[in-house]
Amino acid sequence: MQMSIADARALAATKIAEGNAVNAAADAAEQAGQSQVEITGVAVGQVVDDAARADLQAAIDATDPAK
Amino acid sequence: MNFRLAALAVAALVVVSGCKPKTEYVFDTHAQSMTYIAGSLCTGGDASFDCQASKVLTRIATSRFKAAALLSEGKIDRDTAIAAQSAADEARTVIDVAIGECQVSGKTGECTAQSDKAHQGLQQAQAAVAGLN
Repeated sequence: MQMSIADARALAATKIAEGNAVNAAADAAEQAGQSQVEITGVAVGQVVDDAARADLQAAIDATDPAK
Repeated sequence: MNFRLAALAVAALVVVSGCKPKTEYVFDTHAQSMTYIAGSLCTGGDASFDCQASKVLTRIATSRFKAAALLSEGKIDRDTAIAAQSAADEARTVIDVAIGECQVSGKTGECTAQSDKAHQGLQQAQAAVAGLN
């Protein structure tokens, strides 16, 4: 399924914070002159894991004894 | 750590990807969101590369979410969490390399053909995630 960059960005903006991977993908596509962005199942899995990694790293950083 | 936010992010991404939700958008618990992810990413046949790779990625993400939750609850120490992050990173590197060996359809974004290296990488990644907590 494809959706316009504007729709993808609007959807992402209402659901998740700025700077998320969907927006990044949309920005990259836009800069490349593409009018649409497509995110696949495997790509979604990669983005989900990116989010999971960030979550875990935040939890690790929060317990840093040097802070 | 905010599972609800993470789950909402997943919901948005799944919508963008075009996957059909199998359940309603109810993500009150960690387990529900992970189940949803697992059920939503496999759009091809179960034996397809995309499906198997998605399962690997889901397993990696689940391991991270779980470690983050346990650390936040004080049930594991920081060093254990760091080790979990490193193990997940190693598995992720392997599956990313395997995915990179795919010939991707410009229309569907699916992995339509894979090299032997991709299959080997997938098997290595599956072995790696089997050892994740």
